[in-house]
Amino acid sequence: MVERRALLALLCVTLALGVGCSGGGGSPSGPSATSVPTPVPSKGASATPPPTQAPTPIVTASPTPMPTAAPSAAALSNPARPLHNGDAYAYAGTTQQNFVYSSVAPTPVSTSAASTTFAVAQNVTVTSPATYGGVTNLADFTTTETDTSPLQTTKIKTDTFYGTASGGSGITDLLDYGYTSVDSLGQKFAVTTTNAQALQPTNGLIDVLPEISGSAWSNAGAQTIVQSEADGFAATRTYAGDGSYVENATYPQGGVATPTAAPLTSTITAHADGTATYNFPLFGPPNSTISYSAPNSQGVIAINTFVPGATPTSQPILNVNNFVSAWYQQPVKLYQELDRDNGAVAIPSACNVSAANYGTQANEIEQKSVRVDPVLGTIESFDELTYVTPTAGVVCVQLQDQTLTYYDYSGQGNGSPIGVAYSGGNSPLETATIATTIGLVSETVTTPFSLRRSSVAAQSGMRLANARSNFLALVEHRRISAQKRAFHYLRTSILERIRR
Amino acid sequence: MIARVRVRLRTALVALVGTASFAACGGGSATHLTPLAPATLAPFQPAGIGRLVPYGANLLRNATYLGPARVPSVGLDVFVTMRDAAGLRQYASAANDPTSATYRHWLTPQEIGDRFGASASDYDAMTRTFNAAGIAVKGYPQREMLRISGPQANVERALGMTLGLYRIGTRTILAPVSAPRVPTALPIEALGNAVAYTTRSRNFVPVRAAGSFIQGYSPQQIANAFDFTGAYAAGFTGTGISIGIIGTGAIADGDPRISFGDAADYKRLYGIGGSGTVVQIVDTSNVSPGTGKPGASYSTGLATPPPVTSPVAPGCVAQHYSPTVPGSSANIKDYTTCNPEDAEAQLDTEQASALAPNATVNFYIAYNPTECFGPCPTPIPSASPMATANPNQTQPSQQIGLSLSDDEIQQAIADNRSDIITMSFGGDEISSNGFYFGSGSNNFGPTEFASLASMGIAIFASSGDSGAEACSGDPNVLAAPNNPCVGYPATDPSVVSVGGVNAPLDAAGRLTGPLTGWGIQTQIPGQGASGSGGGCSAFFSAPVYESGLAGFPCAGKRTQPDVSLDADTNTGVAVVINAASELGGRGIFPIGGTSVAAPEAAAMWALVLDACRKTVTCTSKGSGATPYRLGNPDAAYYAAYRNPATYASTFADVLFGNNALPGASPAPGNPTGAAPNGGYNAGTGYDLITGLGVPYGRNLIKTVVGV
Repeated sequence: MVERRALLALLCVTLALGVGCSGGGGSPSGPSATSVPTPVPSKGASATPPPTQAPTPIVTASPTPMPTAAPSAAALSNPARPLHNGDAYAYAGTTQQNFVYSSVAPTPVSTSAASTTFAVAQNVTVTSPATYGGVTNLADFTTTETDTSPLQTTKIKTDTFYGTASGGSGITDLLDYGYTSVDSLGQKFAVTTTNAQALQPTNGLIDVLPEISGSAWSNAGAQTIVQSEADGFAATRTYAGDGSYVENATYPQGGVATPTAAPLTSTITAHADGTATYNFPLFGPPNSTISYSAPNSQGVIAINTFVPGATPTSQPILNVNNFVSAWYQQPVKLYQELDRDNGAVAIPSACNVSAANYGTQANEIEQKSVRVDPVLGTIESFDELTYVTPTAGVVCVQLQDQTLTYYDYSGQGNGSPIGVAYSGGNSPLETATIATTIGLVSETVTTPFSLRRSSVAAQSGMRLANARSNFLALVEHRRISAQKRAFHYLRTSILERIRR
Repeated sequence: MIARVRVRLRTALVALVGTASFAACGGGSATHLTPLAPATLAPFQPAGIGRLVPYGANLLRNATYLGPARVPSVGLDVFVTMRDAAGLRQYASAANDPTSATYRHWLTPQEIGDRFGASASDYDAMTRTFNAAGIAVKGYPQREMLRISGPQANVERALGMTLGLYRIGTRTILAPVSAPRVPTALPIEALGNAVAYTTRSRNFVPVRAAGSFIQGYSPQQIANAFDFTGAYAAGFTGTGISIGIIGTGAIADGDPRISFGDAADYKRLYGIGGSGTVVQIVDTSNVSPGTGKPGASYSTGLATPPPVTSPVAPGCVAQHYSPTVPGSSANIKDYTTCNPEDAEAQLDTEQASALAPNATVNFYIAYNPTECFGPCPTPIPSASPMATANPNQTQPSQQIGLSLSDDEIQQAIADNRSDIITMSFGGDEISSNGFYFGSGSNNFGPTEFASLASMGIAIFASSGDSGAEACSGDPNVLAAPNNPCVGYPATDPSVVSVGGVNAPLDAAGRLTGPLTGWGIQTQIPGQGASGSGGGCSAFFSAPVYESGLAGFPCAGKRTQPDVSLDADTNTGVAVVINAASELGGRGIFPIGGTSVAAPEAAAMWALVLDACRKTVTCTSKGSGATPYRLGNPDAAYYAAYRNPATYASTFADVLFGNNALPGASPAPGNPTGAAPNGGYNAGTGYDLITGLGVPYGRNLIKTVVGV
């Protein structure tokens, strides 16, 4: 825990969070005398209707990096979260998606939100041991989620793989090894967090056991995400610890009609200082390149579009500069994360958790991260609150992802001076928010409650993230769609520019 | 009454022959009136006796006369005097009104003819009259129109007119030099296609720059996005339902030289299953030999449509046809050697057949021999202004299908094979008035659409791609091209007007952002100005399904559109064109426009009808051989809108977007608030860019059918 406390202190300094530091106090507060009441064993308890209210926002949308207050509360005692092969759980709740166009050019400017709220029902089964990415002895949380909106019902199935590793000093690290996802719409992809075990505790760490109020840690953001989609699109995105990344993407060309056409490939390279390049084929080889500078002292980002003709001449067809106002703070940090045990809190009413079955208090584990993408022009804030009771484990999860979009690759801007539709500026073009709150409804467990406290603690926290995989799948779908749209619209709008 | 009509017809026959003979002699005095004189008056105006017949003269108001016409064959539509056309329109309204005693009491075409159409005796007598004048005739059981075709001289004599060539915009057309005259007793109300020009245009927009870059959405993406998928999962795939497409041009039709049509190829390529017959061609070109009854085989001018050819066929190369623009036919003079597929035709058939995979798709297509598909045997005299202006133009321009949509619609009424009709074309109301509707046309458009509606047939039409300014680009309305204007037939009360949205989707069809009304907000610079057609009708009153809605725009006039689906070129769909290897395998094109949205809406409705067909409580409320037909979908759409909960579960209310075109003037009376660029804003509830919003298939079935 020393390492964790040191990390927390470091975070307090470097991120100027100023909150949670006092709560952590540099020393673990230890188990609290305030513990969650022991719930009454409940197998297949009657389903609680999903909450109808919108989930409480976790953070206020802002490009400012990190969040704030960490309550200084006592931790729960013996926060065991038992796990056994064959255990099953049911959760229910809501997800709300909001889209706000806050700076649409040219008119009309609309600040109203387009909202969609849908009911979420999750059925989770545990398979253990499981293998993923070559790593054995993991736990596979198979989650089937049914999302019912007023307009549509979709299903998504996710297998999320968790494992544990020793954190030393009697600490067990709970690690996220990745997940696979397939939904009723036919979309599939897999995310693999590489080297979770090798890099822990700075990679893939989602909880530290036993849970101690005020403890904190952070992941550096180093991971590799491998995605493939049903249409043949594939991408490998490798993040460094500072959030810089390289993404190689392959786009099917011709699709089913002309399957023999060679796929197109693009490469995005984003450096830690905000400089970046987007390299993609247009007339080449050689490829065309969009280059993004870091903000200069006047707060201006230069964006150069360089489109060479085909070999052998490769004479530039287009070589123009565009300038946009910096939309992220300087010096930029492409990735920041803070994880914290906030101690015992009242389970939010939005969780709609049965107090009779699971009590009224739980340990609150929080993860916040902010990722800046200098090519896609986005600032993404992710916030997760997980409520854990000693015997029932995770009784509620609240997640929120908010993406502020500053560049317009969607074609929804107008009148770009260079034909490439940037809408850089101090205010985002679009704010997209997705928030989920789900609570435990029932469980079918192989371990009687009476035995749970004796369960192996190292395996007991894995349900911490079972709700988030589906959520992250949604977010990843959205992110990769933005990237694909950027690819297509860049090429299209450049071509239009040249033809004019 | 019948006997008296017969007597009158005999008299008319004699008079017509006499008129024809007289007119053929020429040299008469120019005593008759031309309602709207062309810009350049013809020097020759034949004498005539009898009654002036409206013929769409307003289409010539900005035309320039070029010279006399010499074409081998002329075909046009004779709108006959129906006994009660207004009654038919009233019946259609009642049969589609859930509060009416005749709700879903569908008629057959024969019943329409017997109750409202011309009398059988009149119809037969007119047929014989034209036959006696050397003119072939095709009739229909609903007895609303006769299609006639014959040598130019015969047609001119029979109708007391002379045909000439005119120039409108860039097109050369055939049109009467003087107003037609027929014997007073002859029950002819108006002529259709006498002015061989249509302001209608296809409502698709090829994504110009993106031919090799953006493929457009797959049918699975569209199906997932708007929950066709949920309907499929519930077992509703369009089984037993037929979708009719009013054709707009050439389509691969099973000709032995073409192994399969593009729609079949499209389904195969995207792995679309289903038992539906992909496309059945219903060729309406032929005319029957004088009995006035369909089914006989007699033809003049054009025995069969020209075969579809590769866009790079030698004939196309020789005529400098450019295959880079799908559907472009601007350079084609001889369709017998170059008849490439029409992109609109492929788009419509592919969307409909893929999204309603078990439905049958009927493609109605008419070829007009007037338009001279082969080399005209008599070239334009070299001394004529037309030849001087364009020496390469030796015959009138052609708009396959578009100009003969009335024939196709009449065929769809007559055969009663299609439960749904979709049309992805339209023209502005101003030019359509007096031609497709209004007194000058005997309201023929609304009458024939009412015929379909009285048979329970759902009709969908694209609302247009010119945003709030459907009149822009029409040379006939040069005075105020930027004024708010909507299109016809979308504005017809019997027709569902389908607008468009920008639908950002991921690979699986999941929305990755908000649905936005297609318009100025969603354009890519350089892609041109386009957007979802919408606004207020200047001519049609609000139908019963729109009545009584508080705060509804347009002050009692028909609103546009009714519903919307994907249309933005930025989020267009994939269209296979000439995929058959015999045609060069040109592959996939991305296409947008409300042309996309209309067949999508039609396909979704096919799923609804499939559900009704399988549900006793639904079919029990219908009548006849097609009790599963639900008539005009607008009745159901607006009924859903009246209940907030039902509306929320059936439609995605689109909140963003504006359908102004750049440079437009402000829209007078914009009911949705400030719109600096002249269009209409999307907003909560109904709006004049997306209508009620975007319907979702599975829940639409629940709302309408209850299963």
